[in-house]
Formats: sequence, structure tokens, C-alpha cells
Amino acid sequence: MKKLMRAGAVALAMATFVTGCSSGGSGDTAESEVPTNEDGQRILAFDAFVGGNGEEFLEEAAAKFEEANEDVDVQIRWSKDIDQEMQKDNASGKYADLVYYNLGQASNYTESMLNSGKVMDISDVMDEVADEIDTSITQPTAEYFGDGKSYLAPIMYTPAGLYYNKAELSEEELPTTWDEMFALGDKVHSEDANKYLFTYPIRGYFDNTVLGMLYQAGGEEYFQNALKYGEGTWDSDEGKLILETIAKLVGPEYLEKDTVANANVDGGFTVNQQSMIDGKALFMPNGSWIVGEMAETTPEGFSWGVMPLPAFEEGGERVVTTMTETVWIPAEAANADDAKEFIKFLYSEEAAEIFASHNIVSPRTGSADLLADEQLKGLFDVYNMDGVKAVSGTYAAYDATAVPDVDFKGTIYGPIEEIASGKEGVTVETWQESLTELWTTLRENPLSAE
Amino acid sequence: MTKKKAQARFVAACLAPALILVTLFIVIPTVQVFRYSLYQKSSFVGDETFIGFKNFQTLFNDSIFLESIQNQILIIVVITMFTIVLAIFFATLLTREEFKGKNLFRVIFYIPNILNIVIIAGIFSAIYAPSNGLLNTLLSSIGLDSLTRQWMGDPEIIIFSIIGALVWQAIGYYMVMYMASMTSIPENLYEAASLEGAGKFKQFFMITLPCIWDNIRQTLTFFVISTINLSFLFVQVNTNGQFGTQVMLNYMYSKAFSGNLGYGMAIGVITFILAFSMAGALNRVTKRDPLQF
Repeated sequence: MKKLMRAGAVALAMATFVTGCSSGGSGDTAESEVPTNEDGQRILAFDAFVGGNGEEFLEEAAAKFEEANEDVDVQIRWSKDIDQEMQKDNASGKYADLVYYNLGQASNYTESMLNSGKVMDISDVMDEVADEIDTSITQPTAEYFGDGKSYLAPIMYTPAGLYYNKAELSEEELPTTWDEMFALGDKVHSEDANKYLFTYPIRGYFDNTVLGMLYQAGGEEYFQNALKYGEGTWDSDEGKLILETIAKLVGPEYLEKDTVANANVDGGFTVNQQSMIDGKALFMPNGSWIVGEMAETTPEGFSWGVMPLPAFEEGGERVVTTMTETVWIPAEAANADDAKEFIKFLYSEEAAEIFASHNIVSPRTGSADLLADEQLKGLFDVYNMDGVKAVSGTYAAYDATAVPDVDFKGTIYGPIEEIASGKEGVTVETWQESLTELWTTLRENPLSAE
Repeated sequence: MTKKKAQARFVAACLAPALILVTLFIVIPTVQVFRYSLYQKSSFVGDETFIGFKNFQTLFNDSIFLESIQNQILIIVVITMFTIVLAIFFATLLTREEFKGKNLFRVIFYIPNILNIVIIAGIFSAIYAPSNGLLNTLLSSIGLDSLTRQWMGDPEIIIFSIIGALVWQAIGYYMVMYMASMTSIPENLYEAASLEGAGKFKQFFMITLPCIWDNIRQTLTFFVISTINLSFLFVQVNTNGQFGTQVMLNYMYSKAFSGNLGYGMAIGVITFILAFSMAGALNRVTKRDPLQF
């Protein structure tokens, strides 16, 4: 028996030793030399998320970059679950040199990395390219902490407005105010009971709509204040106006009746998108990727258009929210120099052309003109419409570990579908209260300076 | 003595691999879960600050967590109730009754169990689809339009829609388990009973049920554990815990891997305790003297 116990103790000691080893290897990577491949080329390890944009645009850009920089080997690791792969690597002290993973994903990976100071300051890169790119698009995202330093490099953008079928609604018929919008909804629904004003893929798609409305309701100052969880964001007339408008929009008269049910099943977002394409709803919030995403089931004759948010009053400001996708360099990257060069390359004319050939628009000035697809190019014309303001912004960082019970997205967007489905006890007032409470909590828990 | 020594050494050598693996992959991670739950820690690599039971304090004031416990218990109880009754019913039919295609039914009942949860989610999004879904179409076609619902879009019933899918998934597995022990009941017990004039119902309650009681008790533990796991997977694939459908492990996952590892692990600890105590309590209250035959 004693022997057995001794054997057990040895096993335990060995196990502790093994686990101890596995977590010990971090820290010294930053000092080490840049790894090279068999041909002596410096490896640029690039972890990239596979999404609606596909892989080719970055693969081709990387190939072009390698042509110009013969001593660099860009090794892209693509994965739908790249966040999980990276977390595993990070746990053993391994970091990529460059990452393509956006803010606002379910895993919050980019936010966690930013908030724990694990993203490199790339202000030098962004300053260098500033003259060539539209900084009004890139800056709000790049300067994540609002301290004038850039951490993220937005490499593409899209107008996240209200998408509609141009073949069905002419420009003259498009509503310019919310009143006109709802009147249009009443009209189509009274003519055809199965036709509605609005649908949304899943509730998260309201992010850009809410951002745009914040700007529209109270202007630049109110908008900036709201992004920093300022007082008076929600418990104000502006806040109430936003919530009431959304609540009305998802009411039974205006929201396509199956939207909520579809939004809550696996893959249901495409069903909702399809119902808009099929003409069951006039508008939905989305981005320009929708053209490619739904290409297979979009009938001929359908023509994508995007409209800025209707104004709250006659002659009021029209807003279209710009959504960006970003790359960033982990603070512990072994080959940050080449990663920075590659980011600069991604902002070049050459890269913009490659992107455009894959229907992706670089924030480099004039890149939308490079698009070959007229329909897609037309979507970017929304920025040239008279009196339309492009808005872009990210909510300020907060100390997520100090307030672990905060459900940011759930609190903002959750009540939308609860109101839509008529859940008992959920009203604009309760939504407003919980948002005010959330804003107070987040205001009181800013991210302490690293 | 030397022989005894050698024997002990042999036993130790045989046990060592298993012991090492269990320690490495079960004991240590479990201890780590308990340890992390006492820390403020964003991820596996993040800094950690010891905060005692603060995570647990926050948890019990966290309305989503309380909702997830509520949902979890509801799901376990309802699924166990329905699955056990249906599985025993079908198992009895398939072992005690003679009819054509018995084996086919056995296979059909078992199929859901070998399907991946993602496929089950796909099947049920087709079944529950509001306008052209199988369920609503079936109800309309037999004149029961008034019963059609937004199965996944109504906050009052969505949790039961999820339960329905999980019961469908579980029946086959438990049915096969009960069938295995039912076939081992000696036929002469039934013969004797029928000679004494006992009907099918009486036979079921006086023979079948008591004879498979131990088996049922074992499956109760499985019910608790597998329901906790499968409801996590199903919820994650479909609603991801939105719309009042949060369950404990999904909440744990969403917190632990979005920058709140410590908090997530505290949820893990509570889930661990809940699963253990539920399984223990079930085991205790169902204890009977085993029937020998």
C-alpha cells in the first residue's frame, strides 16, 4: 500500500512537472531573433480569420508583398476559429506577427488583447500612411483607446446602412425621415399583408444602426460622449428617441413576422436575409459583403442599394455608419518590423487594386472607384450623397475583468428581439433603465492605464 | 515477502499510466478550475489577482447566471421526465411485443443519438421554421392552425422547443440501455405472472420496472451529466444563450473565453457542484434493495 502511495506521489510530481514546463516557456520570445525558413527568409506569421471576404484577397496581397520583399516569407494561417487557435498558442507563450481579427466578435479576443496591453502601438505606421488613406474612416477604430495612439489598422471598410432592392424602390421613393419610413411600411403592409418594412439577420446587426442613430439624435458631441459611456446618453430625450424608434421599427406592423424565430436558429440569419431578397421586407441593416454572401440565391433583376438612416426630422442629418475590418500586431510579435511593412503595403495602391478585384474596398483614398462590379460601386456612392454624414466609432474600452457580469451586447441589443416578440415586462422604459445602469457601470470601471 | 513485494511493484507499474493520465487530465485541471475561480483573471495567460469569493458573490447577483441555473434545472427535470417515460415505453414495446419491423424501429430510434449536435440543430431549424417548417405545416395540414407557433421566436416557449429537440435526441440512447436490461429478465417470470392472471400493465409494474430499477438509477446520473453537456451544445449552436435561453455551461464558455476566465471558472465550479449534488440526490432517493433473479 505504501508503495502504491509512493507511486501515486511520483505520478503527481511528474504531472506537475510536465504541466509546469508547458506554461513556463513564455516571455523570452520578444528578445529572440526573427525565425527564418529553410531558405533563410524571415517568417512573417500571420493569423487570419476566414469570413465572408474569403482568403484570396490577402493571399494575393501577401504574394505581391513577397515579390517586392524577397527575404520575407508571409505564412498565413487561416481558420474560422482563429481566435481559439491563437488563445491556445498564447497560453504557451506563442504569438503571431500579425493578426486579422476584428472587434465585436463573440469571443472578444481582439478587445481582450487590447485591454491587457498585448497589442502593439503602430502609430508610426498609421502616421506614415495617413496622407494616402481616408483617416476619417480609419482613425476612430485605429485609435482604440482615444489617446491619439494607433493600435489597430483598418484595412477595409463598408457602408453599414439599410440595404434594399433598387429594382423595387426607386431613389425618389426612398424615405428621408423616420416618419416617411413608417408611412412606407404602413403602405406596403396594407397592400400586401405578407410584406413588411424591415427585417434584420440577427440582433447583433443593430450595432451600426445604433451607432448611426446616436450620432443622428444628438450630433458629434453627444455621439462622442455616448461612446465614452458619458452621463445622459440614455436617460435623455435623445436616448429615448433612439430606443423608441427601434422599438417601433421592430413592432408587429413593421418587422417581418418570422425574423425573431429565424434569428434564433443555427444559420437563420441567411433565412432572414433571403426573406428581404424575396421581397418580404423592404430594408435590413447589413454591409456590402451581402452582395457576395447571398449571390447564389439572389434572383436576376434584383439590384442591391444602400440607404443612409432616415433623419429624425425633416431636413435632419442623414447618417451612414462605416464598418471597418482590422489587422493588428501582437505586442510580443517576433517579427514586428516586417509586419509593419506589410501593413504599409496593405494600404498601397497595389493592394487596393487586389482588394478591389475581390470586391473589397481599402480605406486608401479613391479605392471604391477601383471596383469593377457596378452594383457594388453603387453601394459606396452612398458616401457621395448630398447631406450624408459618414460616421464611425467604437465604444471605449472598459475594465471587463472588474465587471465580469456585464453583458454589453446582450444589454444593448437583447431587448430588441424581446420587444419584437412581445416579451412580458420588457418595454422601452426597462430597456432605457438597464442601458443607463450599464453606462454608469462602465463609466465607473474605465480601463486603468497600462 | 519478496513475492508480495514483486506483486506490489507489478500492480504499481500497471496502475501508473492510468494514474498519471487521470492526474494530468482530470485531477489537475479540476483543481485549476477551483483555483482560478478565486482569481480575477482575464485569460490563461493574463495576470491573476486573488479575490477570494468575490466571483461567487458577483455570480449570485448576476441575473443572467440565475436565469441560466433556472433554465438548466428546468431542462434537466423536464428532459429526464419525458425521456425516461418514452424510452421505457418504447423499450418495453420493442422487447415484449412482437410486430413486424422491430429491428428497423430500433435503428430509427437510435439514429438521433449518433447525429452530431450541429446536424440536430439543422434538423430542428427545419422542423421549427415558422412559415414553412415541418411542425407548423403538419399542424396546419391537419386543421390545427390554432396550434401553430413561432417555436423559436416566442420567449414563452423557446426553452420548451429546445427541450423537445433534446428529448428527441436522447430517447434512442436510453431506450437501448433499458432494452439491454429488459432482455436479461428471465422469461419464466412473465410466464408465471400471466398464469396467475397478471395483465400487461401489471407485468410491467411488478416485473419489468423492478427488475430494471438499478439500470434506471444509473441512467439518472447520465441524464444529469449529458443534459448539462448537450443543452450547452444545442444552445450554443442555435441561440447562443440569447433570448432567455442561457444555460450554465454556455454562460461559462462565453465568459471564460471572452476575457473573464476567473468568472467563467466560478460558473464551472457551481455547475460541477450542481451536477454532483443532483446526481447524488437522485441516487439517494431512488435507492431500493436490488431485486435478484
